[in-house]
Amino acid sequence: MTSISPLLAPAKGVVSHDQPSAASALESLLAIRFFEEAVDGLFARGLMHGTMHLSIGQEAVATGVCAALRKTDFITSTHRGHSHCIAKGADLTRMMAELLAKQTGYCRGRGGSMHIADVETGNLGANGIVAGGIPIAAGAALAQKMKGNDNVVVSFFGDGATNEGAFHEAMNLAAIWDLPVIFVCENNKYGMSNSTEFSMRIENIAERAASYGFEGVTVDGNDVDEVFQAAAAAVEKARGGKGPTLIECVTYRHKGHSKSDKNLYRTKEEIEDWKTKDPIGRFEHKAIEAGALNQDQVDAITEKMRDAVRTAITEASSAPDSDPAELLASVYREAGK
Amino acid sequence: MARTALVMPKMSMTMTEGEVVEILVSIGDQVTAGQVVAVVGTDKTDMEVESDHSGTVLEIPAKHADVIEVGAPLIVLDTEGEDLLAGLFGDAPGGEAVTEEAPVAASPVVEEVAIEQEPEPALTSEVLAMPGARKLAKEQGIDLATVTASSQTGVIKQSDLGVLAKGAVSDDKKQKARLLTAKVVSTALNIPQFSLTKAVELSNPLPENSDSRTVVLLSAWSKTLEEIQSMNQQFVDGEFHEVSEVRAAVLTQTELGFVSPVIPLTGHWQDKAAAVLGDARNNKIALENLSGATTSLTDLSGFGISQANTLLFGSQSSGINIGNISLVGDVVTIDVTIVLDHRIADPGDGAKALDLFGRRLNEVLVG
Amino acid sequence: MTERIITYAEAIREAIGQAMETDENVFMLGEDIGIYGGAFGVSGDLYQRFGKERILDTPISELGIVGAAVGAALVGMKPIVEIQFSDFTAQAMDQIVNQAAKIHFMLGGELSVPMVLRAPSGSGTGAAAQHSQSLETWFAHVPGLKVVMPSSPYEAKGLLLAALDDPNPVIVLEHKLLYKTSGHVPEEQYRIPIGTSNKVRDGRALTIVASGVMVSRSLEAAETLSGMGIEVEVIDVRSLSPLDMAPINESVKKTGKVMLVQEAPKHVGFMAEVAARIAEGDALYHLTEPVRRLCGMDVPIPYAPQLEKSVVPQLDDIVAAAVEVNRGI
Repeated sequence: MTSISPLLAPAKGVVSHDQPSAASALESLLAIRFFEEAVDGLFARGLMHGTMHLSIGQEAVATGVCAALRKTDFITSTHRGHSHCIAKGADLTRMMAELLAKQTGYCRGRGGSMHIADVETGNLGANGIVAGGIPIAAGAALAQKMKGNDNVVVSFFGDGATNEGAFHEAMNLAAIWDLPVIFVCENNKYGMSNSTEFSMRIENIAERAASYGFEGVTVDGNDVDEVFQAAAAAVEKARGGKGPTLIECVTYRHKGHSKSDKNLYRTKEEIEDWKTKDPIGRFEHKAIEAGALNQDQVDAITEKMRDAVRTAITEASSAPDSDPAELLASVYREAGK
Repeated sequence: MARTALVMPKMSMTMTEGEVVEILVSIGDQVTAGQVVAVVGTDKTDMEVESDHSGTVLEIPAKHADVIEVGAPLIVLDTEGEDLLAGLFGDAPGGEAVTEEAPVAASPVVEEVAIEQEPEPALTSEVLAMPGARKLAKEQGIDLATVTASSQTGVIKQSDLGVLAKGAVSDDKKQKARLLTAKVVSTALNIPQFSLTKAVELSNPLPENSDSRTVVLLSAWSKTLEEIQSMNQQFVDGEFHEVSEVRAAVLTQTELGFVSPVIPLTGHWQDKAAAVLGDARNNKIALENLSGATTSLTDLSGFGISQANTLLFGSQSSGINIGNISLVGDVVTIDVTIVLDHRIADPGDGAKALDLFGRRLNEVLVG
Repeated sequence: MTERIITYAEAIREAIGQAMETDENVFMLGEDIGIYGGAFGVSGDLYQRFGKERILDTPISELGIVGAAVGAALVGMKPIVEIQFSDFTAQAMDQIVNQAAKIHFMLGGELSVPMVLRAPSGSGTGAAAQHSQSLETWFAHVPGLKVVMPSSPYEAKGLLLAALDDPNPVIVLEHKLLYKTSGHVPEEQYRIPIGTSNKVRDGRALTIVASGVMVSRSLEAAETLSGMGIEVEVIDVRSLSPLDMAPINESVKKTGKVMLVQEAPKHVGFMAEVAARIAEGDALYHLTEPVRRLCGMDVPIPYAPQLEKSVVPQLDDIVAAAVEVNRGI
């Protein structure tokens, strides 16, 4: 069992300016980065099966959004979902066990990287279908409204999902029913190989909210502070029964789409340019500048998260492999359970 | 500072090894994270390998044209930062390739199994029959080719077999069984055959138990056949053939009528005969006991029959029938009738055989 | 138990109403189920009784509303989605097949989707190719979904209440021609176990297996056949997933003859599965005649009444085919 400390909202509204919130955000950023670097390394060494989609470079989005959430709030996630899981507080060991096809993994080896869910932390599941989780988020938000509580639901999805019908249907339902849902678009500029310039005529995806009658905002998705502030405002609005918001977080994935990506569709220069805008370095710099963290604290958190990920690998590796014997009995939930 | 291996990367879901196309650095070079240090070829394309780390090149275990497994080292760096995965899998940094078994199950090894040539099964396509009829025919040892379908389509159904599955009831079963017998024995018309009868004196009584009696009679008959070489033949398709294995069809009474399981009279057949006969009484006849009789034994001694001329059919070239047991004075006799294929034996052989059978039977009864 | 005669639609409405009274997490969503009362009048006065929050009228947005039902079910609600025509489930297939069916298994078993999806199915109303299909095999082929086809008002209420108890997604395909048919339905709540087949008529001559509207049509045919001296046994496959073969095999072993009746096109239809399962087991050896399927033609449902009737097994077709099977090859 190993996970990040719960993300804390900043006292003064800026994550990087406040020691506790800056420290927790940096834990999240680094845990995501190290987890995915480890996964990348394990795959490269032939020690990991299947495929996975890495969000290296996009860590600020999940971190900033989840800092604005409570534990009882829900999220739906995507095939590129490790960051959402970790930021919402998932156990790194169980995540790693899932990727290593172990019985102790979140999905008992049945889902893998693309399908991690964690009821404990309100993660309703990563989804292998682009836009598949968006209507589900609307439905979970509908349930919160019907139950009369003030929990909110965040749906994470990519730029590519906003061209799917499910996105538009969910946006419309959320609008007409004033649902407490926040649509968070991680615009990393590419739906697999297709750029947003190719796949849509509008400049900002946030513009799409206007056609459903609610607010859309575009923020720098590599800046934890900006993401947090937009999310916090949307969460407050949703909790108050004032309906949904679309937040477009402009970011970039440093790695390919999946493990079979040869990066033929983008230039080295573009990738290098985005690496200079790396969200983690920027956040560390801002936190140190603001006096919220010093270099020793940054180093200590770095070491702590490296250890956390290494512990997750060690613990997960020693777990039993997932068991085919239980497959047939696992398709349906038994009545009364 | 730490030794960090840059390994042959897995670049697609199916990649297991790659060929070194080019190494772009030399020992002592400084490399930075993200720098292209080698080009490797996969089955699909050549791809650049970037260094994950900054550092100095210490060793280059790979060389041009080497085919290297995924995960094995290409280049070893002296790095500033520690490899995130260093030491977790028993891999000395920059040293040997990862030795621990991959946590993910490898593809199952398919063992090649030599497949023995099965004897060619009888073609089912020559006979149209419902599955239930096929199953019952198999259970009863009935050759479906000898059965006539009652329907116009020619499809044989269970009801056409004249025998019934266990537990089934029918009023006309005997009628059906007779029809079947008629079909089966019709091949007898093609065999020129004759019979001879003799009262054989018994020095000792036959066993009461029918299975024991069958074994005694078969023993005596098989010895007889062995000794008279000319009788141990078959005439098939216009040619004489030596009988390689004497196989006797033994008439056996069951609840549903008579069946004739075939017992091969080779090896320690005496030990197995009771089991075959017992199964037959329960309507179970194994495939190897279904057909191929070269001779037959019909023991009607319990039915007050003095003499029976059963017919040779199929592949049979001889048959022996046991009739009434009589007591004349203090001498016990049984009426024995043998039936022979005239093409392999003449009445002289037959007389010899009857005489020999009587002697062998008394020897067996004494023994 | 109080026995009353009510219609199939009324039986469904009664089940929904009773479930909503019993469990505050039950709610219904769908197109035109509010003041309109539902395209086939199933929701009727539920809107007046339970209000717009629990009888949630939706835009025309099948993918969105099924997705919303999946999401609500994931967090403890018990949604009943009405899809106006079962043909429109095609619009929502991702949420049904990739989400609802797989979440429990794929995500490791912690979550499940206790959703009921009801949809009017089948032909006979002159609604042509996009409003008349019998798509049960689509759903039955997906592990994780349960599929039922109520054949009478009694079945409709009992199966729907059982579906609402089930912690898994259940697809309830209601036949349009049955909505106005009547039958005895107890007023009390009762459940018909999902995953059971039901013998609805005894006979020795031949076994007829059917689902949905084909059950009542086969029973009607059975009366005609009885007049001809042919007593058929009729088995209602009320649950396609899970499928209960026991009463079917038992009946086939008794009669030795089986006719499988379905409205859907023959090719790769559900009754092919039933035939295969008969052939896989020892019931095969009891067959005295080949298995006979009487199915819809492999064509889209046409508009003209004479065309529509000709592509789907009608009463006379069932009688004629049964006589043939009974006479034998």
